[in-house]
Amino acid sequence: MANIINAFPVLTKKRITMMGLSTEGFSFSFERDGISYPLVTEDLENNGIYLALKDENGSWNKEKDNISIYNSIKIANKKSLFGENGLACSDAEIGIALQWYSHDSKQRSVVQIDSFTKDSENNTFQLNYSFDKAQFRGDISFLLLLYIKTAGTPKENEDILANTPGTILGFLTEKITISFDGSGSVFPIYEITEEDGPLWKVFCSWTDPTVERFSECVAININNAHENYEKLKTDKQLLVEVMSAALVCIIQKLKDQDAYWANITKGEGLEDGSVGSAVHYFINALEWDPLSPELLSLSIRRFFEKKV
Amino acid sequence: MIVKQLNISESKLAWDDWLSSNYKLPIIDDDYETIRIDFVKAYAEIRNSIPANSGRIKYLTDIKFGSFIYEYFSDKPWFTLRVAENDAFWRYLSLKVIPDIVGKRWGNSAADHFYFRSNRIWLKTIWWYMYLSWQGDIKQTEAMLDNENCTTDTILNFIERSGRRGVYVDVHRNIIKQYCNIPHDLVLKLDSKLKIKSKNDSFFRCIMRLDTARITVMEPGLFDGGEKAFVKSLLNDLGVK
Repeated sequence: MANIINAFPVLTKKRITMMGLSTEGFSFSFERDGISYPLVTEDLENNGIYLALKDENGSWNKEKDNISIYNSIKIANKKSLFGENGLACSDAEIGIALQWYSHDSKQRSVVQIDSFTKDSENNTFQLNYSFDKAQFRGDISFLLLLYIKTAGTPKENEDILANTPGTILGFLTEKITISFDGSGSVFPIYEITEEDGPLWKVFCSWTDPTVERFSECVAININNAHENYEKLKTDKQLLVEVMSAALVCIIQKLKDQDAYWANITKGEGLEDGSVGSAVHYFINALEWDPLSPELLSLSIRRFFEKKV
Repeated sequence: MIVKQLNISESKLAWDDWLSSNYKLPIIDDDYETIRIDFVKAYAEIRNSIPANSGRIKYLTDIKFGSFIYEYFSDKPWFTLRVAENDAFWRYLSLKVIPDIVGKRWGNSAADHFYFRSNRIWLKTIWWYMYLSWQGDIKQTEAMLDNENCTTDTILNFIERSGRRGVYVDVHRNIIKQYCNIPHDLVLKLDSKLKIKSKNDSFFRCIMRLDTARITVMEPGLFDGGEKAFVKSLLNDLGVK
C-alpha cells in the first residue's frame, strides 16, 4: 500500500502513551439460542497477532453459528487528545470504533463503540458486538481506531486539526488476525491420478500475489498412477528433488512479475497467508536465495536436504 | 445436500477433462442434477427473452441470470454468505454442474471465467454483483441494474477491483444506486472526457478510484450521514450534484 502523508496530526506511539491507553485484549464467543459460549484463541505464530478460534467443547459450527467480539478500552488522559497539541478541536467529540476487514470474506466494515469529549467523565469503553451467522471465512483482521465523531469549532491554532466526522485519527493497537479456517497453514500438496502423466506437476495462478492466499493459488500435484509414485514415499531424496523443483518454478514465476517482486523482498504490503508473504518467509527466514535460478535451486535443495 | 467444492488442483483436472472430453457434461449427484436442470432451463428462457438485436445481450444476460441464481440460492438453508465467499463452491458449479452455460457465455476455453482467476469466475461475479447492488429485494435490484449507465465494464470494475481488504458493502450499494440515478447523457459526457486521456477509462472507474483513495483516511460508516452521504460526497467532488 502506498505511504499516506497525513494532512493533520494523527495517533503516534508517543500520543498513545500520553493518553494512558490500556485495553483488555479481544475475546470471542458465539451465541446459540440466547446463550453465549466462549471461544478460546490459539496463538498460531507466537506473536499475539495471528490467532485461531477454538471451541473447547467442540460444538461451534462455522456454517451455522456466529461470532461475537469483546474488548474493554480505558483512556486515562482523554484531555491530551484535544486542543492545539492534540488531534481534535477542544469542543469536538472523538469516537472509538472497531475496524474489521477480510479479503477472504470479501467484506470490511466498522463498528461504533463509544465516544467522549474533553470533559466527559467516562474513561472506560466496552466493545460487545455480534456478527451474523456464517458470515466469515478465511482470515479476519480487527483494529481499534479513534475518529472524529462530531466536529468542533476550531479555536486559534486548531485549524490544522482534523475536523470532518468520519476522519480516522489513528489506530489504538496493532491489528489481530483471526484465522477462521486455518487453511493458511497447510502446504498445498495434492494427490492426483493421471495415467500416462508425469510424476508431478506444479500449478500456480494468481492476479495479486500480495493478497491472494498461497494455499489457494499454488498446488503441487503428485500422480499416484505413476510407476515411480511409491518411490516418493521411501526415497527422501526424490521427494526433496520434486519439492525443490516445484518451489523454484513458483518463486521464479513470481520474480518475473516485477510489479510485486519489490514488495515481496521487502515484506511490505503483504497480507497474511498470501503467496507473497509465503515467499517472503522462504527468502527471509529460510534464506532461499532468489538472485539467480541456479542459486535459487541450490539454496532450496540445501534447505530440504538438511531437513531430511 | 452436501455442498461440493473443488480446490485449485481438482479444478485444473476438471478443466483438462472438460477440454479433452470435447465438452462432455460431468456426472454429478441428484441434488446437483436438479440444480443443473433448473439452471439450464432458466438460462435458455433468459436468452430467449433478450431481443437478438439488443446491443446489450451480454450485460442483460449477466444481470438476469445473476438475479436468477441469487434468488435460487436465497432460500436454500445450506447457502450462506460463507458459501458465497468460497471460490471452491463456485468452481464446482462452473466446472462440474453447468460448464455448458459458462461456455455459452464466455466460450468453452475461457479458463479465467470457469476457475482460473478468482475475481473472474463468472457465476461468482454475477451473484456478487447482485449482492453488492442489493436494494431490498431482487426485483428492485434487477430493475435498478437494468440501466443504460451500466455495462459489463461496470461489473468488472465493481467486482474485480474489490480491494485487498474486502469491500464496504453499504458503500458499494450506495455507489451503484447513486450512479444509476445520474442522467445517462451526463455519464456519457463524463466518460468521453476521461477517454481522451485513456481509452479504457470511465466515470464509473473514476468513482471507484476516489472511493479507494478516500477510505484510507475516512471511515464511510462513521461519516456524518453514513455511507449514503459518503458516496454523495464522492460524487460531489467529481462534479456531480
